[in-house]
Amino acid sequence: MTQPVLELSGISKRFGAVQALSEVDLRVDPGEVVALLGDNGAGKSTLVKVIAGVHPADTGTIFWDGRAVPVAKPGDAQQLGIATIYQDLALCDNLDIVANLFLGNERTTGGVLDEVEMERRASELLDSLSVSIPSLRIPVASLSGGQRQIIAIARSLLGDPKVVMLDEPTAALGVAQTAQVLDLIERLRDKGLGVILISHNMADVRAVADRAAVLRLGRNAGDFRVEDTSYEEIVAAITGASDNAVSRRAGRVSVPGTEEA
Amino acid sequence: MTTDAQVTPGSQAALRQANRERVVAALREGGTLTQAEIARSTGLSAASVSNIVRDLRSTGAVSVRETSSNGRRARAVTLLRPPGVVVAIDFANTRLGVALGDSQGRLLLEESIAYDVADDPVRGVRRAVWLTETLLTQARVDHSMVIGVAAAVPGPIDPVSGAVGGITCMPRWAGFAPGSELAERLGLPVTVDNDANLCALAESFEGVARGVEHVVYVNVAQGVGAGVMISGQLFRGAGGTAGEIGHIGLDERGQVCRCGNRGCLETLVGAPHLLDMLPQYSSVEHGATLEGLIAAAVAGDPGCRRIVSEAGSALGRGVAIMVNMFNPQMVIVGGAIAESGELLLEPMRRAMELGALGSALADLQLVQGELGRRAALRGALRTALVSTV
Repeated sequence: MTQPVLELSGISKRFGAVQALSEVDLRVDPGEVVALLGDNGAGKSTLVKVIAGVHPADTGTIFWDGRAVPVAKPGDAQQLGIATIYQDLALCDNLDIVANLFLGNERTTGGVLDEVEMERRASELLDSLSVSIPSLRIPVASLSGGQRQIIAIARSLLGDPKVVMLDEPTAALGVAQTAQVLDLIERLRDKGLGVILISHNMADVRAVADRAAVLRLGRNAGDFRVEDTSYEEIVAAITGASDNAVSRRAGRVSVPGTEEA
Repeated sequence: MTTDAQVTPGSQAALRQANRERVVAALREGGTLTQAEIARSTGLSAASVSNIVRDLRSTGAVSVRETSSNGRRARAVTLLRPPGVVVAIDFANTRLGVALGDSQGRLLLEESIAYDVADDPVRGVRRAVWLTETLLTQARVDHSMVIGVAAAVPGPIDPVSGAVGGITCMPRWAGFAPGSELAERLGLPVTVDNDANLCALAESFEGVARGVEHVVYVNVAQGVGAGVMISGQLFRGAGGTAGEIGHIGLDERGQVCRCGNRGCLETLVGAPHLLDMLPQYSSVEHGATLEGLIAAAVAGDPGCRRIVSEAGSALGRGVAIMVNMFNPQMVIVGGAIAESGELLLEPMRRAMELGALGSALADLQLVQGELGRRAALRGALRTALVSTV
C-alpha cells in the first residue's frame, strides 16, 4: 500500500448545537481521484473546509505524508500543498487570463510587473495541461463556463500543490465543457496529484473517480472502489437505504446458516 | 460479437422494467387508456404510472392527450410504438460520439466530444460510458429502457473474440475487446463493428446508396478502411479484416508503413501523412488539421490542391483493385477528406479508369457520402436496433 498523501482520522466538528462531522476518516493517495459523495447537509463542504483550514476541526488529526500536522488556517493548508477550488471560482471577470492566474502572486522585475514572464509561465502551464485557449489576453468574462473552471484549476496549480479539492466543478456545465473538466481531472491524476472531487453527478464520478467516499449525516457511510461497485450500491449508501432498521435488525440476529442471500 | 449482461433480478432497475412492461402490456391490450385506468388495470400506484408514462413519452413511445373522464380531467395515453431506446457509440481517433435513437431508428439526441480515444482503450470506453449516461439523463431516459447498444471502432474487429485487430490506426487498442468492456460497464449487451462497415450500412440504408445492392464504402481518416456490401449484406471476411485496403502496397519505394510494408495506400492518403506533405511556405501552417488543409484546397491554395489531388489518384489506384474484385455498382468516399468533393473524386476517377476493367467501371458510380461524419453513428444505431430483434 502506498503512503497516503493526505489522511484524516477521527475528524469531528460542531457548530453550536449542530454536530456537522463526527469521527470522519478519509485518505487520499497520490495519483488518486477520490469522490466525496453525500446528500445535502451530509458534511461534504464542512469536511472540505476542515481540510482547507477554513474551519479547523474540533478533534481529530490530519496526517500529511504520514506525519500529523496542524491545519488551523487557510495559509497552513496552502503551505502544505492543498489547493481548493470553490464553486464560485473567485475569478476577476474584467482581468485577462494571465492576470487572473497570477492574481495576488504577481511576478515583478525591478518593481514593475513582468508581463512577459507571467505570460510565458501561463502558456507553459496551460500547455502542460493540454488546455487550448485561443488567447491568454482576453478577459475572463468572455470565456465559457468550462474554460473558467479550467482557469481556476490551473491557477491553483501554480503553487505546486499535491492535493487539489474541487467543489462541484461540473455543476451547470454543458456536455462538452464537462468533458473538458473531466479531461483535466484525469491529467491531474496522471501528474501524481491527489484529487478530492465533490459531485452530485454519478456519471461524472464513475467517469473519473478511483474511489468514492460517502458521508451521511456527518459520518462515514462507506468507501467504495468505483470500478467494482454498482451505481445502486453507492446511491444506497448516500441515501442510507443500506442502513435502515431492517438491515440493522438482520445484523443483530444473524445466526450462522440463516443469513439471507 | 455480442456479449451478454443482464439487469440483476430483484434490483430497483429490474422492478422499474417490470412495471413498465405491465403498463405497456395494458396499453397494448386496451388501446387508448387514461392514466387512472392504467393504474387500476395494472395495480400500480397513480404516481408510478405517472412516472412511467413520463419516461415512455420522453422517448416518443406513447402520446398523451388531455381529456376528461366522468367530468374530471384525465390524461389519455396511446401506445405509438414499442418502447425502448438504442445507443450508438462512435470511437474515432480524437473524437467520441454518442447518439440515442428510438425503437424505429429515429435519432433522439446526439453529442460528440473531443477526446484522445487512441491514447488508452479503457479510458476511452470509460468516457464513452460517461457520455452515454449523460445523454440518457439529458433525454430523461431510464437506463433500463435501453434495448440495444452498438459501437463503431476504427479497426478490424475479430468476429469471434470481438478484439481489435493488431494493425489499426489506434495501436494501443490492438487486442482489446471494446464490446465486453462496454457491456460490463453499461450492464447491457453491446455489438461492435468496424467503422467503415457501419458507414456502408448507413449509406445503403438511408443515404446515397439506398436500393443499391453492391456497395464499397471507402473511409479515409487517420487510416483507410473499406466496408463492402455484397447483395445487400456486409462482407466481413473470416477474421473481420475484409476491406482493410489501407495496406495495399502501391509504391515499393515509398514510406515505411506501420504495418511493416512499404508504400501502402495509407502512407499516401492517411491524414497524418497528408499533413506531413504541406509545403514550407503555404497559406496553411504546419500543425494544421486536415479540415484546414481541405478548406485551403477548396479556397484554391495550389499546394493543398496538389496534395488532395494526389491523394485522389492514390485512392483511385487502390480502389481500382477492389472494383476489379467485387464489381460494385457504387463506390462511396467518406471521412473528412471526402469533403473536398470533386477535387478528390476527379483524379480518383481518372486513376480508376487506368487501373480497373472497363466493364467493371461501366455501371459504377463514384460519389461522396451523403451522411458525412455521422455515417458511422447512424450505422451503429441501425446495428443496435437490429441486434434487439
